[in-house]
Amino acid sequence: MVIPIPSSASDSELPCSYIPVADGPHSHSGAEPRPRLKKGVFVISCGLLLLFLSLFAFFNGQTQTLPNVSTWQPLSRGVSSGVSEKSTSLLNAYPWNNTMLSWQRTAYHFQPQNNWMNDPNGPLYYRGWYHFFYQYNPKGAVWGDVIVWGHAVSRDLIHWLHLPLAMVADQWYDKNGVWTGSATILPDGQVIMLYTGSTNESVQVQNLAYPADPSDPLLVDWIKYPSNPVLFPPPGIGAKDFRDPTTAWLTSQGKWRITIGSKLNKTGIALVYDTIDFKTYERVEGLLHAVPGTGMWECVDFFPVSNKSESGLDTSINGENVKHVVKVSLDDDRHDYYALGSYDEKNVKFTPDDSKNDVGIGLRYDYGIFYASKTFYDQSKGRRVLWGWIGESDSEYADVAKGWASVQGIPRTVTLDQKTGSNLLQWPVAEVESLRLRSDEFENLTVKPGSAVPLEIGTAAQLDIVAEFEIDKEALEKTVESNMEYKCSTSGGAAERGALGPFGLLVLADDDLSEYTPTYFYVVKGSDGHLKTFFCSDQSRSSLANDVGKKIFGSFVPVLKDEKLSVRILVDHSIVESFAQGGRTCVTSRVYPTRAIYGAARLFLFNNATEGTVTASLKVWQMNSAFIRPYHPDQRN
Amino acid sequence: MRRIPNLVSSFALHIILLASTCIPFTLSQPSVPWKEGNGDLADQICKKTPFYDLCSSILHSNPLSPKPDLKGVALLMVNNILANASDTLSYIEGLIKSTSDRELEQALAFCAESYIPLVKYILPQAADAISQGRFGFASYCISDALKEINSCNKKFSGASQAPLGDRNDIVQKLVDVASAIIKLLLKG
Repeated sequence: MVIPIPSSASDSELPCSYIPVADGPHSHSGAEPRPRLKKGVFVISCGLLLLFLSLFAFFNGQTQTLPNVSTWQPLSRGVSSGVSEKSTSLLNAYPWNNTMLSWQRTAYHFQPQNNWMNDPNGPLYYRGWYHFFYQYNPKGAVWGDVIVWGHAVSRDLIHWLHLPLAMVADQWYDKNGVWTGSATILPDGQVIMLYTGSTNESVQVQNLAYPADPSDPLLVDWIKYPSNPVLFPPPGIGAKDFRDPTTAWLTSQGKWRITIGSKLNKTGIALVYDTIDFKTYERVEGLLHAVPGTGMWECVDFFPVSNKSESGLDTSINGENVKHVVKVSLDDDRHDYYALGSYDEKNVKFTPDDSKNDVGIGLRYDYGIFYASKTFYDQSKGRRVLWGWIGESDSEYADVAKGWASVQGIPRTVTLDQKTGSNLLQWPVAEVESLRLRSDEFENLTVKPGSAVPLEIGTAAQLDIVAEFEIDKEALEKTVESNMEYKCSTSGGAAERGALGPFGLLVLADDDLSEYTPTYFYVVKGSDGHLKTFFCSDQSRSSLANDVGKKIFGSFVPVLKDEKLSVRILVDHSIVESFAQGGRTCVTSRVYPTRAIYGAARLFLFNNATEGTVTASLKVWQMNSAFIRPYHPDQRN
Repeated sequence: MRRIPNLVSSFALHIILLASTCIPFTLSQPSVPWKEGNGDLADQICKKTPFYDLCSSILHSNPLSPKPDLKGVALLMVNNILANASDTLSYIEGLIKSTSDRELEQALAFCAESYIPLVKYILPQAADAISQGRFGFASYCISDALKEINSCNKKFSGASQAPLGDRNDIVQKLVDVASAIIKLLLKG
């Protein structure tokens, strides 16, 4: 059955038929409802109305009782029972309007004024300015056409000024795309940029670029090395499996060393090259690391972390009290993984601390939407900062309609968790706190099992929330042990009740709770009597629209003895970033409510556990806009 | 915002009218050597800044080139801020070394973190930009400078102690003056 293509998509290269994809950041659904389906829409609307009325009847007074499990069916299924899966898919395009779509734009997350963005590129600090480059499509709101390098600067990683494009696809060696790369700052202050070009024959090569005028702190203009490319795919490596060069680090021989991800059959690998001048390279024998079964390694990152102090380390540092991190973006599952381990410089080998949780099969930076991430060492504040690309989980049709796609996460500092020693901690950079406006504080609120407490905080689309939770000790002791394995992604989300969870916050909720996004903890008592905690973000009821992602993201989070459960949540319109236990487990999600928007958005505390009463203390700040805008030297700012 | 009483608004209107007739008159004057004749340049300029006395005292106590102009004045002001800010930074660093109060030390460290980029990059870049006639960029730098100083200020507002005394305050005022002067440069 051919689904008509919406006219707005005619100038981009969208496929002719849309199949709604259940997973992945893009669900390709672009069909407009046919006229005879309007009857179906009417039936559904009536059903929804009935459901709202019944839910409304439940809620009275300050503390609202959550309906029991049977009424917590996903709305669309509960109402359209009898409508087959296939015909549901034809109701793909929710009737988005401008009001709903324009609300989705973030207030304080980095995004260009319009069009498509993906990977962060070459982040660096130079002469008092933070520089951020990014993969950008100047022609539309989808990936494709020809990707170029966007550019922006900031004094504080939060307030950005858009600059002209840094590099465009004007050479044969990057004609099909100026792709991802990294910056290296030499000891004498010189800035070196290495990036992947997709040649006129779509071969992936590495190229060198540098600022045209090093005395310009804004580094507006860039020069591509006249003898590019500097690296071609080596023998045995596929022409399309050779991309994303890293920041270089100094070896004890005084040479600069980089690594580039690739694959051999299904084994993800990291190739190593040495150079003196960034113009000629020698391939180092062997591989920095490889993990079978992980597939292509994109956006490899390799850096040291201190296991003694909270400071970041320059990429070249090695030695005592240093652990190394290898991070990869797996093309096969679109997730970012990392592993801690040791770097043997002499043998050019990385050995993970825990081979069972090696790169690509163990820990992830973020269990939600977070890809192609890259760190840089900020020498002005002595910290390592992480950028991550946050794609959309709505339909391409909506992206084209709203004219943009993707944001970047708030930059995070990355440190080794000194308490566990086996994972990293990520935390939003301190400068984000300069956006905090007025706050509301709540101490020791008791939330009984099966209830939701609305929090009077005014508007709720731009928030910084810091919360702590405790389950009552009696319930903790009484609860029966179980060997149940909880997994956020396969669970029933916030609707699946356990003895000691789920509980947490409902963000971007509306008054009737027809839409809400739970960020929650779920505690299980293992068969050994020890508590195991999981941290999830549930999109399944975040929107009445049916053409948006509805997954439940999350993971296990280590909670040490005597630690309360703590979470920080940054809400910024269509992005929710949450950090549990000081950043041990992070989940970023994209949400597209249709009702819980503008003044109708609310914040609730909730506890859908069956046994445990939860005591919560939290502080909620309103967040200002970052006023990200173009740099206009001719106008007064 | 409360409605401004009619009397006040008509008074404001008169002031604006008066100012708008004066400004084109003064700007159309050729570069007037310092301290010569009526309406000396320093005076004209300082009248358009929020802190006339401070502005005036700096301009009059600094040796200037034989043909002072608005650009030279802006440069002089920015260099003066740089000197003051460097001084304040040293003072903050000295205080950090000598205090044993943990909280105070943290607040001072925060201020140092604001002053370091100010002294190292923001003000020198503002000065360079003015010399090169890039007044727009200079304007961005000056407003960044103000942000840094304000964030340091906030650390101590409301607190019982004000270890930086007047210093931060003076630097802030100097930046406000420089900002006003650069706005004049931007106007043409």
